[in-house]
Amino acid sequence: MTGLRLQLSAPSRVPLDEVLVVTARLVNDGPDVVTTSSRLNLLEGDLDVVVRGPDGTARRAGWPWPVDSGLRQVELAPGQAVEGAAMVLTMAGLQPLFPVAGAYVLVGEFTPTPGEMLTSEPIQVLREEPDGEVARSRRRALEHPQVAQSLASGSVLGEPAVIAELASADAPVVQLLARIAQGDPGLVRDTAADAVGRSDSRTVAATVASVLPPGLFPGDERLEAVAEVVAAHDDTGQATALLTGRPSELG
Amino acid sequence: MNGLDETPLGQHDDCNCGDEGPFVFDEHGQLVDDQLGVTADLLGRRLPGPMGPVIPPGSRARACPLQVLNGSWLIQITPRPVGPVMFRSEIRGPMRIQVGPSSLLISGDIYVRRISGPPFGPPFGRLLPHLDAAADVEEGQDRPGARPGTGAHGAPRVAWYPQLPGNEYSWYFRSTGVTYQGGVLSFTFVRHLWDRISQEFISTDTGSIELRCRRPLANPGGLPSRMAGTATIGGRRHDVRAVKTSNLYRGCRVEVDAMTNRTWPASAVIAGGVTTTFQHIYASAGWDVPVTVDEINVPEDASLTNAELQTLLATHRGPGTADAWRLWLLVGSAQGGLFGIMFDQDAVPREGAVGFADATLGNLPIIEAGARNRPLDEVPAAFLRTLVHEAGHALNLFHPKHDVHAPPVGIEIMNQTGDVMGFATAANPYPGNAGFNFAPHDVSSLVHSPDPQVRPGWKPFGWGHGSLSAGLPAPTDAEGFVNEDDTNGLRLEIRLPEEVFVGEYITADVVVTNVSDAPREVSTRLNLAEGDLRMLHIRPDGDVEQVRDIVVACGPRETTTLPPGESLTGRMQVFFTSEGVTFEEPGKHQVRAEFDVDGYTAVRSPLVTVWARTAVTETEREIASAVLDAGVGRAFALGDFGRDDAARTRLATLAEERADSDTGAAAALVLANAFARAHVDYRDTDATRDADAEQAKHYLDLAAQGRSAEDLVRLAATVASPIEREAPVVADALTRAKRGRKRSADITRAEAIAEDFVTPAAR
Repeated sequence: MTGLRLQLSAPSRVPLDEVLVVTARLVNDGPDVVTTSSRLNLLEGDLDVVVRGPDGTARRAGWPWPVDSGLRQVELAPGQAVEGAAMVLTMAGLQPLFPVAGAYVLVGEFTPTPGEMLTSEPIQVLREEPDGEVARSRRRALEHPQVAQSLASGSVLGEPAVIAELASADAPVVQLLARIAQGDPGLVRDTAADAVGRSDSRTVAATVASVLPPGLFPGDERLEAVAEVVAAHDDTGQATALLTGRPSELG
Repeated sequence: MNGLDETPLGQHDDCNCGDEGPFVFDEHGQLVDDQLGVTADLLGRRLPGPMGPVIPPGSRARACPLQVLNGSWLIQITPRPVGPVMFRSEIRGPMRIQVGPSSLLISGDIYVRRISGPPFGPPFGRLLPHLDAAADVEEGQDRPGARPGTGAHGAPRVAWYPQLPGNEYSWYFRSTGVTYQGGVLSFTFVRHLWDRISQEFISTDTGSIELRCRRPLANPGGLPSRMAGTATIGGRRHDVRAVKTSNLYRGCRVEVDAMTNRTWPASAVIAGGVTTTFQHIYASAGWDVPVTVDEINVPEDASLTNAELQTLLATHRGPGTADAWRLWLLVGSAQGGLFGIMFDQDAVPREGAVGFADATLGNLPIIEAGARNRPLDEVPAAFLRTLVHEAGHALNLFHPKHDVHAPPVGIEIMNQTGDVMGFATAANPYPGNAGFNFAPHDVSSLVHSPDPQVRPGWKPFGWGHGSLSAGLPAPTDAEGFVNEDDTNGLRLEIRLPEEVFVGEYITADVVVTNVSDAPREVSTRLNLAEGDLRMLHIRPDGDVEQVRDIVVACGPRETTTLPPGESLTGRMQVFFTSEGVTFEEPGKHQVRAEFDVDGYTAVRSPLVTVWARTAVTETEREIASAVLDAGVGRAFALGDFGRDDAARTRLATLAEERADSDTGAAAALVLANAFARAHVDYRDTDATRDADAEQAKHYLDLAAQGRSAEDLVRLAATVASPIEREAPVVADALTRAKRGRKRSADITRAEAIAEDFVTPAAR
């Protein structure tokens, strides 16, 4: 055994008109330095999130497209952790993960090296019915395949009017994701700054990292814009570590 | 079945004289060498010994050699008229006959259209689009019609592939048993009927075909081989004709466009100094993929989003015919650090993919020195691998690590580059360590999966190996979910009830037996929680799921020595698993167990059928309404209700009122197990549940009523989680049984079960 432990975290309650973003933390509990994949994201497939619904049905969160990428590893000293994030919106085939309101149990799975699998402790997230017609409309929009694809890809693959509406939504995560899809780094910065005020720097960092994973999009202007905002509000350094994929000491 | 570079059965026969068969192949396409007294080795060479039925010399002399069968055929089926015909149907499509070293597997896709006119038209009606196109083929590359070997073995000089309109698609078939004797190819098949409205396979039936393949005494014109015969389909007789179209199985044109200053890897030198190409790699999987490099000056764009890629696909792809299979590949710049992406998941999916020329391989010591930090298109082997990989996604192949059939992760083409790099070392660096071949699971899918799954532009990505569908059960069965070599000398059996009602508590016994003459070291983790055992579950709708416990434990593999003739038995509940309620859907379920014996080899059980029906009687309905609840399910799986008071209430009601049923007794045993110990919720140190010995005894008494010691302890052993060897309910049940004046033999059997729960032992 490597001494690695996978820990999944998410808000305990998230309405269905907001996008759920979870963080996955890989902790080295062992006495030795461990070299592990740092690809803690859904996009590259080393991380999986299994979502079990109120009816007991298990669904696997996925990315809409298969990608090929190289090995990215990190060395974790004893007591160090590396963190990534996942946008838990649809299955790979774009079927919704949260078809009804209720309590969902999420379990993370991660492959630190080929053939090895870590499983997190289950966490529970209560997905609540949206309140009001605007919110219900937003929920319906999030189940549209092209909207989900747009948010995942960081580009507008269809339904530009809907993406524009989401970009001004009263829901910080979906708003920031929609802004990233629209692509304007300045608006992304403004939205991130607003979102930090409404939520926190860690949530903002996780949202961005879920679609622009650390190490995979170096030099992306949207990422840099958010990094500036996050750094200004990051007392613990955890949010910055999430954006950069660098190991951090357990606080 | 292995890759296609192995010599087909019978091809080693020096004379190729048509002295073929009899060969008999089972439902998986594997050679059965004892059915007709055949005494041939795996290369088709005859061995001394008793021969099969005597075949008239005259017919044997003219029979086609087996390798003539191998390849792509156009098959046409004509119903025998039973009365005046106003309209007739043209029933035809591709048939693929794959002859391997010790196997023969047939599959096909049938397209049907109604046409008016005389009852018998010209042979094969209108001709089908085919891949010839000398001018379209990349300069310096092989033309399909000029490939070495093409034209041999009864194939036409110019290979082509029957590719027909999707709206005429009607059914898919796959052989379930084949014989070839004296030039007569006979096979039974399962037929999957396609619903054009829902665009899904909706039902199955069976049929049979018999075709005669004869070599002409002289064939100066080089005409392709033909077969003729009859078929029984849907209870009716039909005439069948077939003509060979290629020695490969399927074809797809590939158009390549390259961005300015990016280079398509026309060829690459791989390990061993071998030069390979995109075409050669696909040909090794039985595919004919002529590549046309079209544009080489797609305007510069340093970073490509998926939206931009979709636009490039729409604006740069050349025109094509409606029915011909084709794929667009872009040699693009970059999208972050990705090497490639199959980006096309719109309404007409899987028609485009991209490799990113500007991505770099990194600077790790496991990368070949000359490749470190170089753009991908300056490392032809690496770039070629990625482009072949992305094209594989367009043919609906999955990364092994995401494939629902769980093939092994390795170094073959469909593994992510990062995973292949994970197998590299400084002494054997990437890309030299990469395999430029498709894994057997992918070859099987490429050759035999139905057209809607494989053809670009049809079913979405994820249909066949992913979340949309696991594909048709037959190909799955043939491949068998094997991610390790089959072991020899062990037999695995899974025992399940033949019929259950939805909501019934269900247990399984899995027994591994040493049927060899020597002792065998085997894992003792014969349970669904520790990773060595899994169940493959074919649901009534054909979906295939892997079933495991809801708790997954990791730990060292403990083994035991299994003497010859002895068995190891695992007992487990399968009511609530990683699937939720496992048999929740009424209908025919099929289950197979697979056991990783030692980390290197696996043993599989035969498929077992479980019929699930809805609850009928009042008692059954009461039980079903009580247990079809996620909390109760988890309690059954964990052997404890934890802090779930609602589940506890349901279990208690069931135990009090229905302890005479196994489901009620299991509920009682969950409660007995839970109350026998304190429960601590570590998320909230104040929230604990104290042990309650009186309650535990009460529920144990309820479960014991009317049960033998063996039945009681067996049920207790399934209720307790396999990773909690110290779970009190098993030992308590045994103690309770011993107090109950049971027969000594009964007690002995119960003791063995209790011992097995703690430390599985050979018996």
